[in-house]
Amino acid sequence: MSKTDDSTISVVIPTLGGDFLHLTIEQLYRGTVRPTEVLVCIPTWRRTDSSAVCCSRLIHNRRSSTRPIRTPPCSLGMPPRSPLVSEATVLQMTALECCTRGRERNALTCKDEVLAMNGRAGFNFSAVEVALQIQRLLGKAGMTLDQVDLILLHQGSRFILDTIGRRLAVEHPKLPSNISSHGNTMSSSIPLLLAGYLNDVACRRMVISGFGVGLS
Amino acid sequence: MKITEQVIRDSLKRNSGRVDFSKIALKDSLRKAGMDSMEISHLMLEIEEAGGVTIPDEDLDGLDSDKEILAYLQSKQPPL
Repeated sequence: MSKTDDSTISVVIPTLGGDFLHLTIEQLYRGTVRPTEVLVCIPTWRRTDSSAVCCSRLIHNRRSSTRPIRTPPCSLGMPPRSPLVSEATVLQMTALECCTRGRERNALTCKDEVLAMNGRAGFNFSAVEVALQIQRLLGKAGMTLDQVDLILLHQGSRFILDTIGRRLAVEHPKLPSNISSHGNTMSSSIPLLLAGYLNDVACRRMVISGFGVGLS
Repeated sequence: MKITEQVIRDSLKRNSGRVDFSKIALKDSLRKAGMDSMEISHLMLEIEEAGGVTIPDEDLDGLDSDKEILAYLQSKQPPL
């Protein structure tokens, strides 16, 4: 990512934790939040009544203080995606695309505190919709994949990453992965992947896509 | 698109992963040949997309060879 003011970044954000992310990205866009010291967003949990509330905490690497961020209750009890992080880079979001497959909401259920997931539905959603969303996003931004330097996807599964890459006709290094070294770090996977490119001047335009839980 | 044996073979070739596609005969079990659940999921997804059909989860266990997949899809196609 370039350190110049005209750096651009495109983001695909899932719906879960959407309010939180919209707020954060809007602040990033306005420059009222300097994600400067923010390293990672760690979801912690507390339970109120029947709903789980996800409390994230922005960690500053130059201060001892931390700032908690509370997010709206998550219907599936999962943490929101983490915010973008950088120190000197100014991020500008050029387009946003959201998608969910509500008719398949039962692909992930929690009954009697037992979590159950239909892996095939999750795979089909990721393989089909993520590639389509990215194409739609690029259409909104008036760009093509050739004009994008980097595609950062949620590191949920090597197979899914390869599948999406095949459908988009892109591969490493434009479609990087750290899953072999980090595993699936859930809501932190994109920030951890992004951290390696924030000061890379060759990466001026990125597409970021988080997906999975809730088929979103 | 009408799903033919060739369509299934072409998709299998793309999705057989580490398994040697040329050694999988029409009647051979894909699972016994070594294809894992993700590879089979992607094979089914491609066939669903190509044929414009949906294969319910409960039908998947009965689809373990090219021949079974073809017969299943033919049974789902409306009569001419």
